[in-house]
Amino acid sequence: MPHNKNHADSTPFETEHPRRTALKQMALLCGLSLSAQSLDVLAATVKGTMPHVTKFFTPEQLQMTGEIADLIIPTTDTPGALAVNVHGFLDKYLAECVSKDKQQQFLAGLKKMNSVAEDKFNKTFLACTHKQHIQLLTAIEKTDLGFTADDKSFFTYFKSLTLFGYYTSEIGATKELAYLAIPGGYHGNFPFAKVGKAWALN
Amino acid sequence: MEKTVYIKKSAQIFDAIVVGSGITGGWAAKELTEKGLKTLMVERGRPVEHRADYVGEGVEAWKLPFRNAMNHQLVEDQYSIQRQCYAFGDSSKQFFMNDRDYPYSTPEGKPFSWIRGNQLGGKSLLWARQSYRLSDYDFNANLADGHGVDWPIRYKDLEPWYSYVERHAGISGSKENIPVLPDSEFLPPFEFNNVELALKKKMEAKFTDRKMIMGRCAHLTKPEPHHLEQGRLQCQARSECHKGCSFGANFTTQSSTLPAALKTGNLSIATNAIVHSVIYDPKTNRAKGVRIIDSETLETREYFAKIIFLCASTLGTTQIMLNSTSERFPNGIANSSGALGHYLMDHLYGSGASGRIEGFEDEYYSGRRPTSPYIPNFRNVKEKHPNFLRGYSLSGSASRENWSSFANKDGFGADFKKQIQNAGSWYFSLGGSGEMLPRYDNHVSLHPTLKDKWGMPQLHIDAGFTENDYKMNEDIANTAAEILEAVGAKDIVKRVIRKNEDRPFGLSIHEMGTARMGRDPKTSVLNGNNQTHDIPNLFVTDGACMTSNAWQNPSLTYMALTARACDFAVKQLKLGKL
Repeated sequence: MPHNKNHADSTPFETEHPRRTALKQMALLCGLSLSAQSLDVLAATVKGTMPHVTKFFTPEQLQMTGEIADLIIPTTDTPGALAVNVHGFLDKYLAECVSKDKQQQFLAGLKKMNSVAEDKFNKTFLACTHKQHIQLLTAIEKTDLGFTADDKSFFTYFKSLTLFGYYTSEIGATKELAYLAIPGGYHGNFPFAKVGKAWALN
Repeated sequence: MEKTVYIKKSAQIFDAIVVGSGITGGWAAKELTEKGLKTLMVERGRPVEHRADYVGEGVEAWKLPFRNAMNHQLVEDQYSIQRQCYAFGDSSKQFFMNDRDYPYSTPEGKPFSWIRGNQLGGKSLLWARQSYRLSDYDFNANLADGHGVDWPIRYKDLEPWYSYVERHAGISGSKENIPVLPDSEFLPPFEFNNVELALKKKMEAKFTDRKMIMGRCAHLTKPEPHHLEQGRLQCQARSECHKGCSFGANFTTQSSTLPAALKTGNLSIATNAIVHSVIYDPKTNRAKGVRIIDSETLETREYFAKIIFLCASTLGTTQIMLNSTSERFPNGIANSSGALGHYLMDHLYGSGASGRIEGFEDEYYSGRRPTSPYIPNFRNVKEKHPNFLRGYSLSGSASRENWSSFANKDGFGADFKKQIQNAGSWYFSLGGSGEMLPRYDNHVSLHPTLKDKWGMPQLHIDAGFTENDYKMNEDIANTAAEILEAVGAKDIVKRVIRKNEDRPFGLSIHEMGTARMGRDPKTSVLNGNNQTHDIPNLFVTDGACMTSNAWQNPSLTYMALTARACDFAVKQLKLGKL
């Protein structure tokens, strides 16, 4: 599997203030200068400890969605899913844009992840360590630790929504990937090195 | 656009009425007004101004409430059919008809997807812009195998009109000298990417009966002075066409035919005017005008003219004709043959294959090309295929997987993110566009009781596929896979449409044939000039006129037929024969 544990272990998640780092990066990208205090407020908001008006998730579900999304697309040299508020987008998206069946599938998937976390580690998903999170996500992809094929298809759905939310965000499209609103024409003889990363719009 | 162009009530007897403002309505209005006729264009939908009304254009995904997705309930309630179209989304929904307002019925187990535009410009704002000529293989097809009636025209009749419309519309492509696909008047073709070039070389070496060319499309790759004069600019390869193009780089009514018609000063437009029926005068055996229902006030009005062109889309035109009854024509105007509403065809899409292409990691492309490589038909050209009649084209492109492909791959975390940033593998896909036989059984009729909210009788659409279609679908998938295998593709996946439900009839949005041209007034509605056999001053030039559907995208042929019919009609009018 393509996931590289050593690399993942060195992501800012293991550092003291990963969300502050992510937010700082985001703020820099947006040309904002944030005080330490406002960073804490923002970090608290994404952590779910601030009152947060949700349309679909409970605060816990929102936080869990944010954690899983960020495990899929973590902050690296560009902000990750949590920093661009993919979970906030998914809260709106799942509330409005999908069928009741899909909504139920999503919530059942979160519940299952929690129950496997309880069985395996005796704590909720959110209380698990980063290493345990990685074990759980690896297991759901391999239908291990009691995860079923249905659970895996939930995770595939989760992943597709995360990628959608992240790569259609301004940062995902324009900072992580290459974004060209008006290409000016089509060039078929074009070395990858010339842009160096994938286009946001194919 | 000057406000005075738009009219509501008018007692004027126009020289011509054109019903519809899409690809053929726009062409009819241009040709008739340029030939000096005072022309009224009647459009069911709202006005759409070039540029000003392209509200979805250039809006980045992150500025849309759901990133071009839409509220689930809204889509279920109002766009349950339109959503099936690949071009439908939050940024383009304003150019699609609301399904709740325009109901129609189908028999159990025979779904039909009727994709419709509802505005000035019609589906010219939504079309896929692929532009191909038919050849004598197509005009001879019905005569050769006995399915359908013979076309009353041949390629030489249409050839100068293809050239005429191509020069104005602007068609990009390459000269190839392929007998089944005559060359057009071309602007430069779009480029192949390096992977496509490698595959083209391999395929053409392996299969001497097949050629891979660049898809021909109505885009200005290099505008000519007359395009620039109209305010049309070079295609920027944004692939935002369905949101409206302010560059005017693709052919639409708004970018191309409407400005030309307006320039003459001979055009009037009535919008929000749903044509209920054609008014027939039994004393003179002429169509006198049209009855319309104002979609906003529900008032009814009449407009009058010396000649009438129906360009309201295949099924739109057919619905109006079926609803135009009189003592002489109890089953629909100009329907003494009984052919009206029958012989509905669409193209066979959805079958094909795709595969992964190894290597080329250093290669990429820049821009979003609005067309793709194209393999013109090679079936039933020299040898007869044992399993089915007629032919198909294959089209598809080589591209690298982007972020959306990665949801189905295992992995997550920083490495996963990096893989996405590095772009995925190359894939090459080929999809068919197959010809269908004209069959009496595939037909539309007016529902005996159900009406829409404006009082128009609803259409009942009864159309399905046959063995010939399914066998062709099978061959499309097998042949696409065979080509992919020959060029070295891996992980080849075939797709075969095997039943109505797999992909509804109509969804190719090439519905045609329900008021067909023919030599015999007893078996066809129109003659070789798109004039109804029964009524000299009534013409139909949209897809309803098609005698067979060939395997090519049809819009360019509709344009040429329309321009040719206008030329004929004006000459006849001047001779006092209409």
